[in-house]
Amino acid sequence: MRNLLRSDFTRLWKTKSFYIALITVTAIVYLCVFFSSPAEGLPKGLSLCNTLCSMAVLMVPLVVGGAYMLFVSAEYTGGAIRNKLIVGHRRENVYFSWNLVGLADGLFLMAVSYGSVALFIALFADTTGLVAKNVIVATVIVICMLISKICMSILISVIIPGAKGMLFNYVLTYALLMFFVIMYDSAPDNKIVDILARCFPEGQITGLNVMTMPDKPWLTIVCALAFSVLCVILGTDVFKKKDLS
Amino acid sequence: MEYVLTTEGLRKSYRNFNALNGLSMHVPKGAIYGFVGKNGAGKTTLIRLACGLQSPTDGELTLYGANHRDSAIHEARKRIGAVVETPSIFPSMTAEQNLKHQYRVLGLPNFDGIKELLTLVGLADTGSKKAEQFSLGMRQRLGIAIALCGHPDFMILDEPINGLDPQGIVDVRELILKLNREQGITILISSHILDELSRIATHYGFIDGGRIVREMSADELTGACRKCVSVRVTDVDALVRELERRGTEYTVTGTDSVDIYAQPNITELALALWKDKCEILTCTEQDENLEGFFLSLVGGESHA
Repeated sequence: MRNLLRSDFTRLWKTKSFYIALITVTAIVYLCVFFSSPAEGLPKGLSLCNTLCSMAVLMVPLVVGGAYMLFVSAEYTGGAIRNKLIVGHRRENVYFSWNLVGLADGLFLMAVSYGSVALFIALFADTTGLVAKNVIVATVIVICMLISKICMSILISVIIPGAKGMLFNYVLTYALLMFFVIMYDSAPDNKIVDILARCFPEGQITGLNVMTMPDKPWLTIVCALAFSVLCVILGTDVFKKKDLS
Repeated sequence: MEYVLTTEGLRKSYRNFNALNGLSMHVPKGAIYGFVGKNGAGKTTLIRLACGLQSPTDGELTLYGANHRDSAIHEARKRIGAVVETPSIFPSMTAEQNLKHQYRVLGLPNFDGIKELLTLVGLADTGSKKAEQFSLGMRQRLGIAIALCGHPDFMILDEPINGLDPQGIVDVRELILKLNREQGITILISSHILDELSRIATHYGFIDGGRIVREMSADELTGACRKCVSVRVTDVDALVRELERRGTEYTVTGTDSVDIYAQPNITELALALWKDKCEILTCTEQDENLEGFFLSLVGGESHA
């Protein structure tokens, strides 16, 4: 397992897609935050924090998840995944290593981009009215969303490797986003939709902002982590049974 | 005899298709085991199962004494290196980076031996050239170098000379012989180029329809290969009729040639054929080669 982590991390640091994702995420976050118009009646810092929060919907699935899917798929397209299995690495270890490296990758990308913008806002913008507890809860939910999205992306990569898997991931992401937005409007009290929304990353982020405390944030965190574990278990099972050519 | 790889009644099914159909084979330690079969006979499927890329539907596969169902198989696999069909490489990396990556996968403490491996496969001067810019032959050699990382005891090579030029084929042949003779590495090699295989193999396994039809040593093969008289005639049908009448075993090898597995009286045969206006053009004595033996085992136009 240690060897797999070492080789995966080293490959990640040397992969172009990692640096492209880092630059893209950071650039988009900075551009969107600094070119956004402050909401009427809100201090600029508060408005920018809300913009930053909603950016996660775009950034995580599109750039972070997508770039990591490319990283995993590269092992399939070149057939290099065979080298790990031929020399005796267990499939569950290979899959778990992808998840750990993916989470580290995602957290690093988000920390650099969001962290630097958040620091900039805190230092130079008027953040009157910003409640620390709300910010912490929103940050934890975004991190949970990131974890569940990465676990879900890796699962899709294993089922549908390559560009087809990425395309499927994007379509699924935006289909789920639309579904949760519509369901929140049409059936706001539906308990099944509520639980599903707390499980799926697309639902966790819908309507999240830093001004109000979301309803039962602990339940969202539990559902997100449970969903992530389920994705890892399911992905491990699929990968263990998968015939490689 | 000590075996590195054995299988008993191995089966692999894909929906309604049986790729392996009760295959039993035995690869002796220290051998160069030539794995011979037609396209679709099941060679690559067996290799995928041996390498852990796929799981058998039924039957037993044992590698260094470890059954494929036991967790000990993972330890046993640490002793093998393989090139399965296309070389398993990262196209965006250089040859050296690919080897370094494999060293990390294996958990080797340092990168000692990488230069030697690159020299061994003739890729020492590729520098910063990425693998995606390599020719097919260079990729094949890089695949072999990756398989050699960590000094394996058993190498599995699936069509390793595909895409190589004549010099490349000679280089790979010499490399295989060197690895086997100097380092005692057991090698399982599948190839369609039977003439090339016959130059290096010490043992053979002939596969057809997903099962081994014959396993034998190179010495046994030499003994089993029959002598024949190869005859070229103006009318093959007339010759076939005459041989059928005499009850002589033969193989039609071309539009004007037949191999006869007997020592016919040529004068008698020529006189008999002349009645049908058939002339004998040439007549040479030959030993049956690996190709002929393979065809006689798995079919073709042989008759008894």
